[in-house]
Amino acid sequence: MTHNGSKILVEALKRQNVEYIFGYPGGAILPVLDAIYNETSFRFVLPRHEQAAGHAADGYARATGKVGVCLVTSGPGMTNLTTALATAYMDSAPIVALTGQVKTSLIGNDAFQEVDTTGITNAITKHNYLIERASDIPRVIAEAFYIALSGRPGPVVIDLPVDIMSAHAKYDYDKSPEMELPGYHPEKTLSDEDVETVMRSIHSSQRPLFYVGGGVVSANAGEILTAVARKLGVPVTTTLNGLGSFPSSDPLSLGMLGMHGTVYANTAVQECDLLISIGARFDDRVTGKLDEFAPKAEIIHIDIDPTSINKSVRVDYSVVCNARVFLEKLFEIAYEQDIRPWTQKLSEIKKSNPLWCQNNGVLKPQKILRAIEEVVNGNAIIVTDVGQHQMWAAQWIGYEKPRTFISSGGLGTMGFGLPAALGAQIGVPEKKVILITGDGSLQMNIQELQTCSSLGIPIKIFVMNNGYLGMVRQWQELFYEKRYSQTDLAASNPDFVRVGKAFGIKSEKIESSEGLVTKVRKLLMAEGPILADFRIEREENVFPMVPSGKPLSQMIGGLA
Amino acid sequence: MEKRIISALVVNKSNVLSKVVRLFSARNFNIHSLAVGPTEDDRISRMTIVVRGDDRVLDQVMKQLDSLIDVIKVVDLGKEEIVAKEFMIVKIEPCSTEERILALLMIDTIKESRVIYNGEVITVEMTAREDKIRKFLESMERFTIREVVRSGTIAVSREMIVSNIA
Repeated sequence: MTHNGSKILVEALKRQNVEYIFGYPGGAILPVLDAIYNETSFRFVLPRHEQAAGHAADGYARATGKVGVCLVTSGPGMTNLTTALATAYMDSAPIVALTGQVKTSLIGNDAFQEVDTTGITNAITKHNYLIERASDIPRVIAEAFYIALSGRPGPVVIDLPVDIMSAHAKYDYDKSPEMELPGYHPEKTLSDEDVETVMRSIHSSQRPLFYVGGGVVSANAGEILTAVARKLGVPVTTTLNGLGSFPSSDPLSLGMLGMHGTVYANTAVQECDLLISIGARFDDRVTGKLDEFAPKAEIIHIDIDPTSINKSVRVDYSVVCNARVFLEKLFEIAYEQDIRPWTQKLSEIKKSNPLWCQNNGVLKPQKILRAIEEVVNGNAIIVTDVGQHQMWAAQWIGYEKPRTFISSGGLGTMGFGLPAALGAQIGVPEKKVILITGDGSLQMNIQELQTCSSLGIPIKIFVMNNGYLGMVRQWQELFYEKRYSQTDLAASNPDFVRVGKAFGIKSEKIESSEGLVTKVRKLLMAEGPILADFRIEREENVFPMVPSGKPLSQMIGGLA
Repeated sequence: MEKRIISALVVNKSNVLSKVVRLFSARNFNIHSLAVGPTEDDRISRMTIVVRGDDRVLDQVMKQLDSLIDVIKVVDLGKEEIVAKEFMIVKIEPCSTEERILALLMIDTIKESRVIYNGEVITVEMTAREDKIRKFLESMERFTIREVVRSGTIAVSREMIVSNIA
């Protein structure tokens, strides 16, 4: 049977069980739009900006563990998508992006809405394709979904020239396409010896510590990690994107480490004699000053991505392996360790150095987040934007399960939150999705209020509005003599309540902490999307803080 | 810094070269030379890449290369018994008869070279190890060198068959 390229694409996407496509129309993608006009096997979600389509696919992917699919036109459609691709690439989120392209005969001619999509995306994707024949589409789609989700996940771009999407080719409904990937072997084998070596190191250590990251979440290894840590009795600290992979409420949990990590997590890193990193990549926001990171420790690194090993921190032993596969094997041979002096010392430090905030001011962001925690009790997905509110959300809300904290960690993309939250809500309709954002971040993709409103996507938007680009202001306060260059937005911010209402979203302003928990509960229980404009203490800082380039032992604001 | 030779087998399609080259600049690796050509299998090309750097740089370069989906195999030829040669064409313009005679005599002692003199310009073709080519060029600096064209090193292991991708 012959079909045109667009119909073949649709059939190939159906084979991958695609449920949603987040996309935005345009000239070069018209044949594909036409082919899905009457398609009922997946839904098309129309954000109001291509960047948002990418972040929504990302949020969907992180919340569900499935591949997020987005579709944009050529030229500006594709360049608008680049920030979302780079965001997904840095945080290893599986996305397949379908991008329109000008006619094959016009490629390279500076045609209308032409950009060199594969050239531009080489640096920000795991892989990319330019389709040359309609008959290649089934194979390329199968490969793209496989590449996006396997190994260290990441975004894959498929560039679709408009003439090929209209050209006819044979399509066999009964045949699965054969992949041609001679250079891609994401499945790594794990030897018993590797696991035994790690277990021996744990056993001979007095002060072992797990340091886990997003790799545990993407490998769906949260449960087995929890079982292993409990069986061994070894404490766990997580990165930003590792939050939720180990329950915050567990006595062995030390919370997040790094620049805004807890005193007890950072102290544990600096004091441990064995650091076992799983699915984390020793990012500079985590390590602080490299050569003083975990100075007393033997370091073991377990990661699916060989390039992560010895990239920044030199490790003593490494295993290239999927986190879940490794942990399942470790569980089999794990047994309780006698390290009471270490765990006791850590729980003392934890008790005497809790997260703190002053009681001054009318409305403290930390208290809003604590109120959210009290109401949802681990049963919600928290999505954040980027800045102070992001760190407060990481610190002050407890995460009990993987895929309940979604944030742009690696790239730090302001404007990620709103579209990612709506993507997450679409993927997981049964859960409450709460967006923690700031007045700066929200304005970077504020048009997505319309997508939420028109589709009735019931996300709860909590704006931590301090009238500043708060994180930059904090650095200006601490390191630039309080010269608040270009960061004071108070006079120029819109009235978010009126903005929300104009988009058809129930919105209200909250200016005091009176009855905060009740207010927060009411907001979270409301039907449909809501926007709450919290006028928080303007110059509140995120503490503790390890200044950039300093070792983790040099925290400021660690104690009340 | 030490020069290291890497041999990479890649899928023969457009965009692969740009992915490889981009990777070097993005990761701040220094390419000394890069030679690309077809192999015995028309679906596969071979790249011979000479990089400067220590073991750590080499380790990262190789892992990063290997992480590209279209790169099939990466081998550090530094660990192997290898044949590594470069091809060069150089044009020399003597300013006087004495210089011309001296140049031709000097070139004549280099067994890897072949010379063509058209009455004006001496064109030397030479196939040799890269260090020998460099030394030869240094010795020619006393004359006016008009043009140098170098292929970059290509190399193969004497022992191992790198192309065996199975």
